Amino acid sequence: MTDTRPVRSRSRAVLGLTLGALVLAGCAEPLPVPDPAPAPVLAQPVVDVAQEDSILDAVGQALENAAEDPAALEGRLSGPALVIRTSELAVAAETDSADLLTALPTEAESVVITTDQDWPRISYAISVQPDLQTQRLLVLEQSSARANYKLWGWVRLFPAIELERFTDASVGSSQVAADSDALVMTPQEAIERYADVLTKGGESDYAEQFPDDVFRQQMAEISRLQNEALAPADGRQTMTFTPVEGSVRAISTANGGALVVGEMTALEDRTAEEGATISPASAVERALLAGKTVENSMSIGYTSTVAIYLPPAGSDDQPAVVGVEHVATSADVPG
Amino acid sequence: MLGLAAIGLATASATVWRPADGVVADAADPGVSTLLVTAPGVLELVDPHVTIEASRPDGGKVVLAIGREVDVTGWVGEDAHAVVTGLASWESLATSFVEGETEPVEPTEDADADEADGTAAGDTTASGPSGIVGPDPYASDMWLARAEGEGSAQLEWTTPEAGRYLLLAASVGEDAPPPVVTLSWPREVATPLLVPGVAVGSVLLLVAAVLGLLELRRSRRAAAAPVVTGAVPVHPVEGQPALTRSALRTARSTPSSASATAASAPTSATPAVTPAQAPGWHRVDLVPGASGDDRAPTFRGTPRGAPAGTGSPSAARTSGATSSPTAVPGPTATSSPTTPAPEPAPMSRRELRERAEREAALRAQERTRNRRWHRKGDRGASAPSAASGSLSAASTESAATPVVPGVAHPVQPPFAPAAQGTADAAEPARADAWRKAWGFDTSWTPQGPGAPRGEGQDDATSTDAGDQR
Repeated sequence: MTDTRPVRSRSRAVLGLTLGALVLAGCAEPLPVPDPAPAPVLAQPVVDVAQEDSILDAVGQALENAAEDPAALEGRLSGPALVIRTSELAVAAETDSADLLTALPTEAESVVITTDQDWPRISYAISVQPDLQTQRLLVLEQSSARANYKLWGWVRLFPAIELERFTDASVGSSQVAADSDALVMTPQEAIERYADVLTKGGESDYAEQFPDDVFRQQMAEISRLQNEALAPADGRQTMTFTPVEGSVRAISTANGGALVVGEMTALEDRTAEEGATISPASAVERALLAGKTVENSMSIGYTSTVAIYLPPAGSDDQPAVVGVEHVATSADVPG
Repeated sequence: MLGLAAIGLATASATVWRPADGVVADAADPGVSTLLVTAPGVLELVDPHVTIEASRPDGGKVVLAIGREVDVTGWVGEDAHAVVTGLASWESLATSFVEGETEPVEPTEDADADEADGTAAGDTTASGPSGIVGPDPYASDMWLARAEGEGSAQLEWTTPEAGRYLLLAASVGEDAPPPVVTLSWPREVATPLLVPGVAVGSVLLLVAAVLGLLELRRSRRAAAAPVVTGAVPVHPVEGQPALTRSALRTARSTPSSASATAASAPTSATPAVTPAQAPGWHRVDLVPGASGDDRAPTFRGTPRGAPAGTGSPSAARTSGATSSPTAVPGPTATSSPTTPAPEPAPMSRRELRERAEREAALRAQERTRNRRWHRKGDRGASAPSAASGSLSAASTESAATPVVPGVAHPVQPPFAPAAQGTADAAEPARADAWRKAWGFDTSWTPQGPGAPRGEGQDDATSTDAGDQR
């Protein structure tokens, strides 16, 4: 026994070393293979709320610095918003007063984010209330993958209006195509018909389809006043609203309806008889007409955006206009 | 054993690798693309937390951005780009190249480059006269994390549990070389062998320690009763330690049979023979398993037996009697009654000689018998062999074994009185016992049946035999 002991321990040591070596060799970890989470079944919101907030901050920055840096505006505004804001800035520069600038808070009370992954991507943001005015509905749009989100347009929501609810931003809402049949009328039709109603007033074929709203009443009132003012000069005033092609954007609401935002242009013609002189009615018009001599006619161009709620098809509810922005952006005199 | 333990621990510790893991990827050939994208799942390949570094050799602007899969894919669009598909080894990334459909166009004078092929409304992708102009993704709203820098950029990112996220690395500007991207993850090294290795190692250590202790104890015991090899023909049966020469001498010198071989009776049961049955022979207190020398280490202190071969046979006898050759750790802790019992009458030299011869014969026979039958645990059986070849009555323990009685010396007691008497008387008594053991007619005596032998002797014998059987 005594003799075999060292031999046994030696062989054991060898065995142990061999085992150890084998173990070491065999215990090299295999390389991991990418195992990504599966693509989500439900479409996800294209941005999260934090991203949306930072986008709105960037827009607000651009708006703030617009006075010093007009070029920055183009990086964060597009569409009617850019047109309106540029005009307002020009007017403000002309009149040396910032009062005419539309108050545009970019702090959002709620955001509406879509789940459509294709471009262009849209989102709504309902801002907080600026002093003594109504909330704004901001429309943000990313036109392509390499573009940034820009403020495409905004509307001033009518007072005492209750917006139809949207799905929560963490779930996302879906975009609605301009020719969608899921609503009482297609979004494109809605804008066109409302423009007709605004132009023709009560004589429009679609006057009954849209209940009376504040803007329509305003327009009617302005027309009456203008015509009264021009009557002695045998003048007339007309306001024609024309929808802009391809400007309709719509996001579905929680109940299956949609909130449609569209752009319109309006042209106001004021003419008086020969030899009469008409004057601009407001500081804006004056600023727009600066450098021009107004005689007996003028035309003012407006850029308008309108937001209309469309109930789902088959619903008994009527469409409702929830907000409008109507700003004079150009003025011209014939001749 | 300890070596094995050490090996186990070493193996376990060897599997602990460096905690952080870094992999470096080189993008495709320079001049071909300025964009690098990771495939879904690569960012969280080793660990959800990843540190990304991008650099370019010429020190230009580098941008890192992480976004959702849809966003990154949409942003890259049709441009040529490299794709990191996974790990090629623990130190390098595997990349592949995606041909783009971007066609380099001649730079136009006007700043409007939107018409460039393959570009979207973005206005940064155009080709310079001598290469590709890298687009700048830094300003996009779509990214969840971004970083930029001159020459190199760093970004840390933890992948959320849900969702697919891609990395976009871009070298920005004209003639931008492809970015070199490094991904580093903290790596939790799975050491599956660590716990079992340590456990096995410690178990081995414990076993080694225990065995070592046992060995130590055994060696100590052996030291107390060193194994005598060679000369002493002692058969170590049943763990009985060999006898020391002195003990053997003692045993030889003493009339072991007459002596308290009974005393030498193994620890356990008391040997059948008790001093009472050997009246006058020795008044040694025959405590079973009384220790003598050669006892287990516990009896180290016992006197090393009587002076062997001294003129005081009685003393020797006593000591011999007390000597218990049984190897069994003396259960009876009683030290041998060292006090020599009152000495029986000294034996004549002739008697001593005869006894020695008888002993030798018995020993030989005993040895043979012991070799043939191993009686486990029958320490009593070993006693006879140890007891200087004397057939201790103790071995009568196992009455079952037919040999025992034979081995046993039931007639020992009778010898005692016989010893007192003449040696002649003892001789036939012993012979008679042997005859009995071997199945011969016990009544036979040289003098004929019914020899006037001491009744006590017969009785003792029969009693012993009965006890034994």
